[in-house]
Amino acid sequence: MGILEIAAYVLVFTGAFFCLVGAIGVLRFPDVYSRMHSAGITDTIGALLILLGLALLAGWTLALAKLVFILVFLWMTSPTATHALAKAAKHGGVYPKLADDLAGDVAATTTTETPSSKA
Amino acid sequence: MKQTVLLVIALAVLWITLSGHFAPLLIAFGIGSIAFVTWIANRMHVIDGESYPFGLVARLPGYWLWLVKEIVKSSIDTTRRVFGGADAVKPVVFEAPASQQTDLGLVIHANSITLTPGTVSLELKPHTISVHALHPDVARDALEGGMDKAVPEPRKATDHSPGEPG
Repeated sequence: MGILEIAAYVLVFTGAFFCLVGAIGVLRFPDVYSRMHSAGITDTIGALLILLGLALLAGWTLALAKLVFILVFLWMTSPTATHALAKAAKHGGVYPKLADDLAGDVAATTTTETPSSKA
Repeated sequence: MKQTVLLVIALAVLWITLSGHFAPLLIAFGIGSIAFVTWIANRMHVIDGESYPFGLVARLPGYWLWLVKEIVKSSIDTTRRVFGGADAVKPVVFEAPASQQTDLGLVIHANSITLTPGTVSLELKPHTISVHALHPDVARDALEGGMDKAVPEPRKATDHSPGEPG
């Protein structure tokens, strides 16, 4: 196995790791908005590293150009979709849980319900 | 007219890259589809400097390199927060100044904010973008990162003011 292939597999597996991190973050983060940040890891660096790894394997071929197109189109469309989602959530009445509300949530789970946690 | 010629060239480059076939029949199909798309775009009056910003092409690669650097930095930071304790996530909403004069510049700025993990643009307002950040530190880094200055923008301003819903 050549050095190029080893580098490619390292990139692909690192990208896969970041995709996994994004999924874990979606489960761990407290509300819609912070989960979007985590999903963004999968969209951006996960896709970038996997496509870079595949580009190394493809070499100077047409497939390389297609991989570049995939990255460019992905990076143009995914933030647009994320923004639409954030705006839809905001206009639908889902307000971000800010630092103070989260402190209230922790208090609510350990002691009693507070009005802020129902918002 | 200049925009139409540039559109035809861009579509032809895209078609050849995606197809990779040079048989006469397939080339004819390619020419036919390019002509059809150009005709539709002309009919819809969407060929202008905003929908096909060819003037930006020269400045985009440099901006993309800068953006990739920012994305890598903030991805690693957000990854640390995924595995961090209760202090790692303290979401804040802040207003990022946006000096862009054109709608396209504003869109590039807002999408770049969303593209860097840790910040999501919530709403465009005149001269500011409302941004949700994962932590006050992320918000501070975003404000000091110089993205507002880095965003490339077409020179000609559009006829209506930025931030207005279209």
